[in-house]
Amino acid sequence: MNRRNLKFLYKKEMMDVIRDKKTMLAMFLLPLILYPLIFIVVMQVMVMINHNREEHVYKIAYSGGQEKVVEELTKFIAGEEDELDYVFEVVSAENAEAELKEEKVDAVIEVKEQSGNYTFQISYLSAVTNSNNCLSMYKEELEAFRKKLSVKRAGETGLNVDYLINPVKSEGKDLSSRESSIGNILGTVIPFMLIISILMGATYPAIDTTSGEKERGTLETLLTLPISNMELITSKFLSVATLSLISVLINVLSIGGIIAYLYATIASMSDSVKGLHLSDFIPAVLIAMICISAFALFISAIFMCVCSFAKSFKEANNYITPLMLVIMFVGYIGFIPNVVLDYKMALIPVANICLLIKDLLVFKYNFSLIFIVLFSNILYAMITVMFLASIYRSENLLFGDATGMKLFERRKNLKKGSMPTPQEAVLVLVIVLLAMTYIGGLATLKNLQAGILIQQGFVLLLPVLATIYIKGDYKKIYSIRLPKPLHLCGALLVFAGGYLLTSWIGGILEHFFPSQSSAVSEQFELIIKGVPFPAAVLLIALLPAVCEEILFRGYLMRAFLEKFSVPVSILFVAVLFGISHMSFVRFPGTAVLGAFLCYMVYKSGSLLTSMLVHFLNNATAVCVMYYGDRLQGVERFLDQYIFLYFGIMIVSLAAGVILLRNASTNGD
Amino acid sequence: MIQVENIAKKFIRQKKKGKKEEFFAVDHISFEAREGEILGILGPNGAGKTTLLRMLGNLMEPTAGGVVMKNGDGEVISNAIEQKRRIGYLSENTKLYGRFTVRELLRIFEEIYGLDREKTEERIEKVSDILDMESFLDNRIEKLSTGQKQRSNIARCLIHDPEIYIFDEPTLGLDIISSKAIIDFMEQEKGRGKTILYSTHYMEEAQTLCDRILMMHKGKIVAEGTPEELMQKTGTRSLRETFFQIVGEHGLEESEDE
Repeated sequence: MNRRNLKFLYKKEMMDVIRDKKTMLAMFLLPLILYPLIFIVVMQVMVMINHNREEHVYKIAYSGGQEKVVEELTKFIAGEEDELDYVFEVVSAENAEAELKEEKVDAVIEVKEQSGNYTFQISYLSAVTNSNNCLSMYKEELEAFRKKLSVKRAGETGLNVDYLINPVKSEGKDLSSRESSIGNILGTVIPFMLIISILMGATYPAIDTTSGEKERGTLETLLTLPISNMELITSKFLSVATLSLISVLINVLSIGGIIAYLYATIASMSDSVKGLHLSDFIPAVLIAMICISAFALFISAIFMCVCSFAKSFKEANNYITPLMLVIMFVGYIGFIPNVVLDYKMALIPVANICLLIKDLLVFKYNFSLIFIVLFSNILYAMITVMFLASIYRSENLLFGDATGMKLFERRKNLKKGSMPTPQEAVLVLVIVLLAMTYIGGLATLKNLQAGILIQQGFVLLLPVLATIYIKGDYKKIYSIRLPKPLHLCGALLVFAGGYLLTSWIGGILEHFFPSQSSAVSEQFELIIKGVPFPAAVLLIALLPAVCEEILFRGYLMRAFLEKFSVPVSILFVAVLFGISHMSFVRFPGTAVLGAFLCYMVYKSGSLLTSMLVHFLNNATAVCVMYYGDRLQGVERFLDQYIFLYFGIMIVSLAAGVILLRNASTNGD
Repeated sequence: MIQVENIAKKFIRQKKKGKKEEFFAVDHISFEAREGEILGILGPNGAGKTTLLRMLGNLMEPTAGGVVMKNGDGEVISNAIEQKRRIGYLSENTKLYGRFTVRELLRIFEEIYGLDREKTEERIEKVSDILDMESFLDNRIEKLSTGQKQRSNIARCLIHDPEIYIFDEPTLGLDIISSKAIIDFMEQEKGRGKTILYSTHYMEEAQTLCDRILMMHKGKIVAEGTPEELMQKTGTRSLRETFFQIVGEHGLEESEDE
């Protein structure tokens, strides 16, 4: 990439976007004017409501009876003996209930007496705010009045007043620090506001630089310049990212200003925030800014990806709106009580940022979680940027006319020997995963082994059926042929090194996530329980090796290779392979294994190589499970000579990859 | 000079009832465009002219075949980006950035072409002289008239002094005054020894302007030669009649959109 080109392209993109009024409006207007405005209005409304509640003269209709106690109560209320300052006006009414229904009075009381005890029946309207307020306040007064009467009566009878009327007392003692109680309140609102503002900040630049450029017809002009597509898309991404970062900054400042104002007002009115300084928030704000920045990059890239498929501003808006709703919905997790940031949540995009900010605002610094949030966001951003770059390599998307899904076309219209598209391959994978979870999952509840058979059946059958439907080129999609000896050797070496690598990764994850890791191994132990060794090999090694290779390295890989470059295809298939194992502790290991399997199939041109290696990999795991106790010597030996372990791993991986790379390809 | 060898571009097109089929928008054609000549590319809609020119301009990658470009010294330039540096490409799809002024736009393009920074303003003045753009050089492009926009667009093609011009229907929808400015410009550049590829639907324009003509139909070249040769061959008196006759021989029905 030429840095000079990048610089000038970036300049051009920034100039272009900044001169767009809509972008600037979304970026500055919302945080700088609208937020404070909303805040002020909300404050005013709240003050007004409170004022109204206290100052309103509540009218209570009294339908007669027990005049003496009512008079006494009214005097009690008017005398403000209990420091409550509501104003009640007791009026007599002819038809009290009718007047209540017409909202002429706020409540109706009726007093009954039974052996010296009074029952106040209060009729009210639950749907009317004032009537509701009246009830609760009148109850408060009654309670105070009740206490006064009790004390008086107890005194009359010469009993211990406190002993008699307060046998049980409760006293709440708030031990949370003052700052955290404020943070807790802010923590639910602020992350959500930030997410929305980042979305708003990124939307217009993302649309403008991609589909906007297409719609205005300037994309082709840009393509006439002596620049590479990579420079083009990088400069666009950088400018969208810059603008969303600026909007993050503006938003943090604006929200920070509101918080500072709130703090100052509360501090002047009460002493509940004494001892808390604004500077205490600085580390939290800094960490939040860094993580939010990574998140903003991710959002920019994902929005640009989506917009790139659109030909016009309007179309892009149509694509972005549902995406925004999904993101906001995930962001809503911050509002759910008792959902806290843990190692699982730290990997969920959007939600992890919300929960992290919530934690930071109560000064909870768990650095390993902070790093996971930061790096997962960086990782997501990188993956989406790579995807974006591959989109911009596609002429179909630049000049319109993208190919859709062949699966949704009439079969007789399809040509023989066609290839699946990535979209339909991902759709097939989703269907496979759903079928495995629901149908296969139900079957495993009845009979575990049979369930696995059914699950693997879906893995094999669905891609094959999809291929038959589109009249696919079987030989090309599922290239099952004998690999060349050199390729085989390379694959075996990669297997040896890869096995050591994935077990090492597994070891690390087991260290950090012991409970999840043991849950995974318990699952495996359940499968092989009471199953003879050969059957376990068949079930865990042979079957997945054949079926999963057909789906992932055959069907999916071919579909991706049709549209994307080799590295991008391998990345996608590997990530999808990892995700399909539906366990986050297994994800890194399986994704790495998946990448190696993709590479050997691509290089050897034969699905048999990856089937063999997949089989060996799983079979080794089964052996370890059955005869692990006999292998302890080996384990101890390798633990002692850790350099030997890594030596073997690196050398065999390197040798394997070199062999695969340099052996002449089998032709395609 | 551009030598086109067996170039082809395959597309998938949507037929009725969601039926799709692959077809060659440009079907393995070869020709040559020389220095100091205007090569006209004529053909009905969907003949493959735009696709061909996009491939020559390196905006699209050919499915097969390729373009050999030689500079004045006979040196072969094969790198796509280096080729782009020597091409000025103008089509109805190359619109300009409306939010920039003409001067800003030219400056940015100069920067990306990597031209000598000290002479930036000098070059802009010169180009604006040639195309008579002083009056609107500092106006935003979105505020310009169609003719002014088209002149600015030519300025954009010209700013890096390319060896080859690719003009895809540059006079489409312009009044005769603006069209004349473009035609004059092409003749002038031809005089400076530039290679010009020019596609149009205006037969009269092509007849007077082009040194040689390629007639395309359904992705193939159906006739090639000077306007006079073509008219002689078909025994017609104008290029318009020639066009009807040659295209008619190959089936007049309009091919589908590219």
